[in-house]
Amino acid sequence: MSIIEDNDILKGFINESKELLDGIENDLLVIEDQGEHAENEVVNKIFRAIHTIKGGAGFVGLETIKELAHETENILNLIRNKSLTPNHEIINILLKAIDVIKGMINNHESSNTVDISEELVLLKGAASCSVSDKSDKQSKTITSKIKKGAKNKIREVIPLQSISPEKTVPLMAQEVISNSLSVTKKDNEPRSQEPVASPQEMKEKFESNLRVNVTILDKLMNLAGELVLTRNQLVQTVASKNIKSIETATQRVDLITSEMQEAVMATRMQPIKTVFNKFKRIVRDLTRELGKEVDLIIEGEEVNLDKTIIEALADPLTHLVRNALDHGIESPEMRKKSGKKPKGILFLKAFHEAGQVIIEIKDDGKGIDHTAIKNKALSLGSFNKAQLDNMTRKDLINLIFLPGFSLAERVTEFSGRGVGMDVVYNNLTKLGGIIDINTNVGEGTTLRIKLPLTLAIIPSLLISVQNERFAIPQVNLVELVRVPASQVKKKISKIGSSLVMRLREDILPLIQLSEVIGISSDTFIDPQTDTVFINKREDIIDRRGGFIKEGLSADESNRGNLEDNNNLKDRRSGKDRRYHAQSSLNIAVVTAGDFNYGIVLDALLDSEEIVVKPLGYHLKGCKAYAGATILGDGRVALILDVVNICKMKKLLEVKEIAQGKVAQKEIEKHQDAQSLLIVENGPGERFAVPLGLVSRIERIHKSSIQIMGGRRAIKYRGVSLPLFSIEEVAKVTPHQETKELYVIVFSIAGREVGILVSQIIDIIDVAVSIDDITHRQPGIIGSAIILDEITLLIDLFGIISAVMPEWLIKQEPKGTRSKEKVTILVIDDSAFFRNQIKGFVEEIGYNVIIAEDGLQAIQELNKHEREIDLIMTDIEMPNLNGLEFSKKVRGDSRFDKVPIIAITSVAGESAEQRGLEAGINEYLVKLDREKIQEKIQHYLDSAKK
Amino acid sequence: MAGNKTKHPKEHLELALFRVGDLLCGIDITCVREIIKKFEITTVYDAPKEVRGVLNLRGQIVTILDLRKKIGFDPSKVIDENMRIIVVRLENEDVGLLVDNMADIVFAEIKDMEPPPSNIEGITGIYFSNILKMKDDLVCILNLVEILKNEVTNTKL
Repeated sequence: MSIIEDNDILKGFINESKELLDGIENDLLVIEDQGEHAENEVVNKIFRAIHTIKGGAGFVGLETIKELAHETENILNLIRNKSLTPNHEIINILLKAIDVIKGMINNHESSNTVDISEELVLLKGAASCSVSDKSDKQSKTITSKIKKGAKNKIREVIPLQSISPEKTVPLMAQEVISNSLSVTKKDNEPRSQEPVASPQEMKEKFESNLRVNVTILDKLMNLAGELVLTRNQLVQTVASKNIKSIETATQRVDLITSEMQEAVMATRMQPIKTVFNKFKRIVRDLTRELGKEVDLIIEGEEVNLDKTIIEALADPLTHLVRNALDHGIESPEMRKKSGKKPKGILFLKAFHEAGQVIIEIKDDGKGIDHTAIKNKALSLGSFNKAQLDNMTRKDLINLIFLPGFSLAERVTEFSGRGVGMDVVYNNLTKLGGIIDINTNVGEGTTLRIKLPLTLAIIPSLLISVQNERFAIPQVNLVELVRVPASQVKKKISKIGSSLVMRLREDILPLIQLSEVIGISSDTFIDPQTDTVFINKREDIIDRRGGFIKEGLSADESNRGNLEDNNNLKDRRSGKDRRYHAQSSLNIAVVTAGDFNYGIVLDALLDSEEIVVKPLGYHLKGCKAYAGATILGDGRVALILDVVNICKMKKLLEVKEIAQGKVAQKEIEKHQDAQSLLIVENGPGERFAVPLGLVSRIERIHKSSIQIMGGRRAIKYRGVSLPLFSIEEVAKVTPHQETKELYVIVFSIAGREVGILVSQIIDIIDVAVSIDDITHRQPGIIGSAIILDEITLLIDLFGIISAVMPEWLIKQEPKGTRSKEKVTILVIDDSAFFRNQIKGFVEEIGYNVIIAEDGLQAIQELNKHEREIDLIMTDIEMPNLNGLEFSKKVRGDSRFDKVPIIAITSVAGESAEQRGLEAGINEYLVKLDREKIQEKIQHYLDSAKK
Repeated sequence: MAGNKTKHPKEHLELALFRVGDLLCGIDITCVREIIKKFEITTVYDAPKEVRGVLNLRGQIVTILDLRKKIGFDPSKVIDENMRIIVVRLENEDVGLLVDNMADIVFAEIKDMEPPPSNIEGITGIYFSNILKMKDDLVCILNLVEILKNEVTNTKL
C-alpha cells in the first residue's frame, strides 16, 4: 500500500471527491425517477464521477475507497448498458455505497480500516443478478435475485474479509447478507439513522474550501492594484498639501473601497442550492421510512447567501424539513380521510425581500394544534393555567421553541431525534435570523425564516444613550417611536417596577439601557442651554423641574391627578418644562424573535452599514453585546444584542402582566374602535383616514414635487409616485403652501398613490359614530367628532376613482353567469359602515342582504338558507358578536362551508387569531374596497371548486 | 525596539519598564507588540471590572485591561497624556494593558532576579513572576499569563 506522501495531492483529491459525490447523489435520484428510461447522459456523468474517485483513491493509496468505488462503477456500467434497471432497490444500494464512500473520504486517515464487506456484497449481488437475467425488470424479482446473487458471491467476498481479520469469516459473511438484504426488503429502523448523520456530514463538507469565480478574483486583483495606486497618490498629495488633489484621491479611495467590498462579498456568496439539494435525498429516504408520499418542490435555489450563513443553515433547515415530514404531513390514508390528495407537498422556497433573504418551508400537513401545546405546557408545569389562557395562539405555538419543549414529547408518536426546536431557534437567532410559524390545523404549517444576506456587514441604526454610541442591527428594528413631550405621561406608565408604553392597541415593555448595562442615567441635557444637569427623576415619567426635592414630593402625593396640568402649574413657579421638542422621548421598538419591546434612547444618530467585529475573550460574559464596530471617526461602538437584552431583563414576564391588562380592556370595550390617522389639509380643517389603508407616511420637500403632464409626482425609491390632493375632488380648502408636506401613501389598483396633506396631527384609536349625511361629498365619506373637532373621513378610493377613473376599471368577476345568484350577507351594527359596504358590494355586482347584529344575521341565514354564498361580518356587535356568530355558523352543518370575511376597523394579531379560531376565513379592514373585492372573488372562486 | 533579541536568552532579558500606581513593573520586551500613545477608549458597560474598555487598533477591536484595577490599586485613573497602552498577545488575541507611564527599557541579568517575596500585601502577588533588583529600585516582572487570564466569568446571563 503506497503511503500518502504529498499532502496537497491528498487534499485535492478529497475536495474534488466531495464535490463529485454531492453531484452524484442528486443524479442518482434523477435516474431513479426515470427508471428504465434513464438518460445515458446522466448515467455517464455519475459513472465518470465515480471513475474519477476510483482513480484518485488508488493514486493516493486509499484502497478501501478504491475497492468500493470500483464495485459501484460496475453497477453503473450495467445501468449504462441497459442490462440493469435503476429501480428503487438498486438506487438504495448505490446511495448507501456513496454514503460510505463519503464517510470514508471525510475520515480518510482511517478509511483503509473501514469494513465495507456489506456494501460489496450488495453491490456484487446487484451486479450478478442483472447479468443472469436481463429481461426481468420487476423489483421484487430483482431483490430475490440479489439475494441469490449475493449468496453465490460469498466466495468472492471472503478474501476481502482480510480487512477485518479478527472476525470469523464465513459466519460473518452470512450474517451480513441476511442483514443487508433485510434492509433492502422492508422498511425498518437501521436506515432511519442515516438522515441523522447527514447534517453532520454536511457540516464537514462545507469546511475550509470555497470556489470563487475567476472573474471575481480578477476584479479583486484589479481593485487591489487601483487601491495601491490611489494610496500612492494620496501619500504624495498629502505631502504636497494640495487640498484639491487630496479630495479627488479620497473620492477614489471611497469608490474603490466600496467596489472592493462588493467584490469580496461576492466571493463569499454562494447559492442556497448547496443546502437545498441535500433535501432531495433526505425527503426521499424519510418518506420511504415513514410510509408517506411527499412531493418536494424547491424554488429559488439560485438565491445567494453568505457562506457562513449557508453553512450554519444546514442543521436547522434539516431539522425543520424532517419535522415537516415527520409531524406535519400525514400518512396517505389520513390524508385521504381528510379530503386531501394522498401525496403531500413540501415546499422549500428562498427569495429576497427588503434586503434580507427569506426561506419558507411550507407543508400541507395537519398543522400544529395549539391546544395540544397548551396541554403539554400545563403538564410540564412550565406555565400556569392563567398564563396560558392569556397567551395568544401565536404565543402558544411559539412555545415549541422553548428548551425542553422538544418535539419528541409533543403530540406525535414519532419521537424526534437530534436537535430540538429550541436549538433550531438559537442557531437561527445566532445568525441574526428570525423564525416565524404560521399554522392552521388541518391545512399545514409555514415556517418563515428571515436571514441577513451576510453576517460580516449589517445595516444598523446608530443611537446614543448618555453620550455613548451603540448600534442596533436593522433586522431587529421594528419601528421608531417619538413620544412628544406632552404625551409622555399619557403614553408611558409603570406596571410594577417595569416601564411600559402604550403603542396603538398594544402595551409595549420598555427598557432603559441604564438598567441593563449600568450606564448611569443621572444626567440630562437642558434643551435650551444644552448644558448637562443632574437628573433627579426616579423614572422617565416623573417630571423635571427646578425645585426638585419639593417637586418630587409634591408629585408623589399628587400622583393621582398628575394630568391636571393647571393644578400643577399653580404649584410650580414654572411650567412643566417638558413642552420642548427635545424633551420628547425616542423609543426604538425592537424585536427579539416573536417578541417586541422598546428601548429608550437619548438620540437617533444615523443609519449605517457597519462591519461587525468580535469582542475579546474578556468580554465574552457581556451578553448585552453582539459585537463591536468601528465608526467613521475611528471610535468603537458596541452592537446591542437585542435578543439577549430581552432575556437579561426577563421581559416576557412584563409582557404577561401587560397582556392581562389588555385582555381586560378588550372585554370592557364593546364598541368599534377605529385606528385613525388624523391629518390637516387646509388650515383648521381636519381629515381622518383609517390607518389600515395607509401603507406609510412620507415627509417631502415641496421642491421635490415634479409636475409631469399636468399630474404631480415625486420620485421615490426609483419609481414615480403620483400625488393627489383632497381638494382636487372634494370642495375643501386647499392645503397650505408650506415648504414641507406630508404624503399619505397607500396602494390602490396595484400601484402606490400619495395624497398630499399639510400636517399630520395624530394617530388615535377612538370609538366614533360616523355621520354619513351632513358632510358627504365626492372624496369624503362622512364626518365625525374626533378630538373635539369635526373631522372629515377621506374616501381614498373615491378620490382616486374621481381623478383617475381609468385605473379602477372594474375587474369583472370571472364567470359572470353566477353573478346574479351570488348573495352576500353583510353584518354590521354601524349604519354607516353597513351602508358603505352594501353600497360598494352592490356596485361590484353582488346581491346584498344586511343584518344589524349576529342574531339578526342568524335569522337571515335561516330565511335564505340556500342563497347566501358569503358572509361579511363586523366583530364588535351587540347581542351576538362576530366571533360568536361565526362559531355558530361553523357549528351548523348547512353553513359550515360558507366563507366568512371579518371586516374590522382595528386589525390586531390577537383579534385575528381568535377570529381564525372561530372559523373566520379572512380579516379585512373596513373601507379597503379593493382588498374586499379581491377577497370576495377569491372565496367565491374557491367555493365553486 | 528593532526586534534585536537577546543573544543569550538564559543570561539576559530585555525588559520594558513602566509604572502602575507606585509600582515599577516590567515585562519581557519580546511580548510587547506595540505601545500606543494616543488613544480613545470606548467604555464597555456591564463588563468585568478590570476591563477599561475597547479600542480600535487598525480595524481590530482590542480589549483594554486596566492594570491598576487588575493588580489591586484603586481607584483607576482618569486618562492623562502620560498613560500608555501596551499591546501584548495571548494565543491569538491582542490585549491592551493600560499603564500610568512608560519608564525605560533595560537589559536585565537573570542572576539579578528573584522570586517575589512572600509578604506582598495590598496587591495581588500572583501577577508577578519575579523581582528584579536594580541599583536603586525594584522591578516587579509581570506574569502575563496570569494577568491575561479571564478570572471573572461573568455570572450574569
